[in-house]
Amino acid sequence: MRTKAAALTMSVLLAATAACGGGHADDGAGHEQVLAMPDDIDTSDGLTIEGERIADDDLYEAAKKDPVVLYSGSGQKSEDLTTARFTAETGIDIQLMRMPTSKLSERVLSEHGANQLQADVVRVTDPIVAQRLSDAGVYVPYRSPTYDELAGKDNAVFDGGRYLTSYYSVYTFAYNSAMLAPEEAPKTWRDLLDPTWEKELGVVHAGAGGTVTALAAFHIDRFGVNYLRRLGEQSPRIFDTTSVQIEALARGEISAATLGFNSTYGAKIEGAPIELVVPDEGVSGSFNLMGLTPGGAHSAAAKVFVNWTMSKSGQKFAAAQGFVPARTDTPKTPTGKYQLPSADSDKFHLFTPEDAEKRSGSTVRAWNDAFEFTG
Amino acid sequence: MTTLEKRPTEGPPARPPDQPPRRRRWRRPRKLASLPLLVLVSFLILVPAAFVLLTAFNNGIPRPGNFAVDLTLEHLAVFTEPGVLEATLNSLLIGISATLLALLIGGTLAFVTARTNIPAKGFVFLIGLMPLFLPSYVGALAWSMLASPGAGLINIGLRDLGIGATLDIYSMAGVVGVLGMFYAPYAFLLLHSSMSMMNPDLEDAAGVHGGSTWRMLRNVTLPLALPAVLGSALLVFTHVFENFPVAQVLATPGQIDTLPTFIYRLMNASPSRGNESAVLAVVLVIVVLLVTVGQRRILARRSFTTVSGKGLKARRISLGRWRLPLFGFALVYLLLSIILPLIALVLTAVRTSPYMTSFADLAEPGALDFGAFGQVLSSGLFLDATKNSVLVAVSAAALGTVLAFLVGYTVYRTRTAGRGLLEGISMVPLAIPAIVLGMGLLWTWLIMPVPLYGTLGVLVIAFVAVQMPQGLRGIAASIQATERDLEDNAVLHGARRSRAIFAITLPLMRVSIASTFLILLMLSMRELTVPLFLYTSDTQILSIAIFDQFENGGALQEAAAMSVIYCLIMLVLSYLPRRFGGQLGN
Repeated sequence: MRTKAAALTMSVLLAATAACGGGHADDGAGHEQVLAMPDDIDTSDGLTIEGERIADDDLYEAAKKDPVVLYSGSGQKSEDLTTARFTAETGIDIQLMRMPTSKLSERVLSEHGANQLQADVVRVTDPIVAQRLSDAGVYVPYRSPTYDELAGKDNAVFDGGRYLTSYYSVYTFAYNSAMLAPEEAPKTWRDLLDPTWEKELGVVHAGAGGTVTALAAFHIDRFGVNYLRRLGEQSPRIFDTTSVQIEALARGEISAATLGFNSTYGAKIEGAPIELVVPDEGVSGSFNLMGLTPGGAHSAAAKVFVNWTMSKSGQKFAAAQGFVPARTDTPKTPTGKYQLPSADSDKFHLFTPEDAEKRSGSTVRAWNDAFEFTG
Repeated sequence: MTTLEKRPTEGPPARPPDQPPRRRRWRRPRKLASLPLLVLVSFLILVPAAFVLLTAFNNGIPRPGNFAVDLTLEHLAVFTEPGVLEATLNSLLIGISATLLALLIGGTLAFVTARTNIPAKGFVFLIGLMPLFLPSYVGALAWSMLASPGAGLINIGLRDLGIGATLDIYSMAGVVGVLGMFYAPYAFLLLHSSMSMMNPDLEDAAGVHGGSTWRMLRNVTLPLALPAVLGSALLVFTHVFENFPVAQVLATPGQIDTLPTFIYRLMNASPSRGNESAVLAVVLVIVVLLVTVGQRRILARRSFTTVSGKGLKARRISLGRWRLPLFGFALVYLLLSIILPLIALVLTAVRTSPYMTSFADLAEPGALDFGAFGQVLSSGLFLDATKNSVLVAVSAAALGTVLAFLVGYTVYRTRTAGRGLLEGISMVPLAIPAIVLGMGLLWTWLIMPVPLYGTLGVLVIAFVAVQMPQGLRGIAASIQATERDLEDNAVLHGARRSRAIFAITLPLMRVSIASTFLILLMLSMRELTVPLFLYTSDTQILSIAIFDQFENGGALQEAAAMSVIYCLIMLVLSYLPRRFGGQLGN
């Protein structure tokens, strides 16, 4: 009897908090915080956003009927924001399944092998994985309206149009702004080697994924292997994923950390006391690659999603979130108060698929040695 | 001469006219009695396990559409990796220590509630049970919030109070403590059910012959409780040994590797090193199989019958001056396992900033926002995940209990051939890290022509498979301890075996059957690692949603809010079978 009364009381309390709680809608409605909606969305004849044609009439009408199913290895927060923005701009529904890239590729390959692939679009953050998916037939060729322009560039379109770069991820470092005043904080990569930061840093181990391998390669190229060793001597806390690391930084478990720009920025605009740094020495870049699956090739909504991602509006939104757009003809968009280098800048050190093929293994091994890490 | 009709006054009971003579009555051939069960259990468990075994020695990962068998021994090279030995030793150390701690806590609480005059017995029983509501990873998350060296709430509190000490939960002691606390209820339930059914005659005899209470406990009670002690020790050890989420949340930040986190890292490496993970998994299977075989050997030779139909109550022991200290022990356990973690989760859920230097910060305006709970409660993700979780958990627990009883009966009460094999197979899931079993199940159900993949049905099947050992253990100790004579007598008097089971054995075992259902229900609601590979967008369950929010989304606040609501749901869910079982128990 007592337990029933307690349960009843609790339910009433919960219902009350639900009623009082949040004016916020569901995940990702903060996309307008990242960037204001475009002024000019024209759906009278197909879909045109800010003067750029995303879909013709037939495609757009067909697209409104079914949701897009997106499997992504990119960061959760940024995908939530991106999918919410897509629906807001196009009116088309999208279902997101997000898992870390290595788990995702296992899943996708298994589903595909059993002819049960549920995804229309698959986005991964590792070029080796993307090529494997393409070889397995998970990706099929598709030409979005901007294809020709992209195909002319390096590192934008791959394998006969089977997959392309939606944008690039940037890896840099950040610190807890509630613990450190701006004058105390590290400003350059070399600052991180200062003894002040011994046991105060966080890093993600290089074997965790393409983005972190890219960072390790950047450090080796820019500063030499010795940089890694000295960073390892700082006894940083080693994490398996960026998201857990960002959480630890926000709580103050660590004072500073090397981390992905866009996911950290996402946490920052949600109120985490984190300050990012875009050091003059440069930042590392890695790929966010996507392609249509055989199912997606028959889905109008999926095609509109790819078209939108590669449109000026989609690329601007990516930039505002903290990615580097694949297209270099979009106007430079700041990320809040930060300005990331563009894809063709010499401060942007991209880890290309050839690099990944040749150097991933040795880079990870060098990193593991420097940090005395196994696995 | 007249012949008098002789009326029989005594003699064998009259046989009903339609029943054929006993020796011609058809009986299922003994050898085949266990066959259907054997086939079912093998399929549920061995096929995924076979995939794992194959992967350990195959070139490439067996995947639908990529099913080439090309054997190799090269993956054994993983044993030469420097971290593997250390991870194994850490796992063993943590496993043994946490098991001892869990037995100590669970055993003490079981003993005081089942056999003594401790105050507020019902409340103490609940205390022993309650940590089951907190899935171990939620408990680990909460303890991470409480005692992380930099920003843990307890450490902030200690700083506020001017005490210089710092707790560091990211340590061996921390991991052992949390695991021991959260697995103690398993030991508690098994030991409680065993002790409350104990026949008091033997203890009375000890008392009559002048033995002290302590001597009686040592020489009579404890040995009689041995099957339950060994059973729960085995269960807790293998669970702790293969636990992934707690190790990931608490051991990894302290740079302490365990075998499961090592395996997880190998599998998550880019590119994935699934073959090497599978090799390590095979080693785990061998270790635990050895432990299981050892346990059966020890118990096979003794008779532990303590439950008969005589209806006597187990002997109550008076605690004297130990009453209050032991009650205090229970309260401290409640504080550490439930109260502090819940406070940490609630605080984390309602703080607007993740960063806090002192508790005084909470008094600032705008520092707390209880709306987080409302947001979670109204989110589509939460509502769908809850509905799915409850459906799957109840189905899996019911099916699992039935299967466990059938297997347990066949293994411990019959002499059919193949029953040892049946028990062995049923225990296999214990030794396969859930994460690797999860992959095996994914491949199995992708390949099966039955379209269960992507539905809740595949989750139910996966849970039943992975929880076979717990179900069986829950039933086993009780079957071994229940006298078979009563059932056999009924059969001798003409009842069919199944009727005898229903009418006699099941009611005698109602407490343990209710416990088993409860354990399986809790386990299904908590299960995280196995569904990690099996869920799809529309079959998300709560446990996944919480872990995902934290591990992949960095959304600790949302994870904390969901955890609190999740615990309340568990509380309500668990009340139902207890209430029902309680009525049966009277």
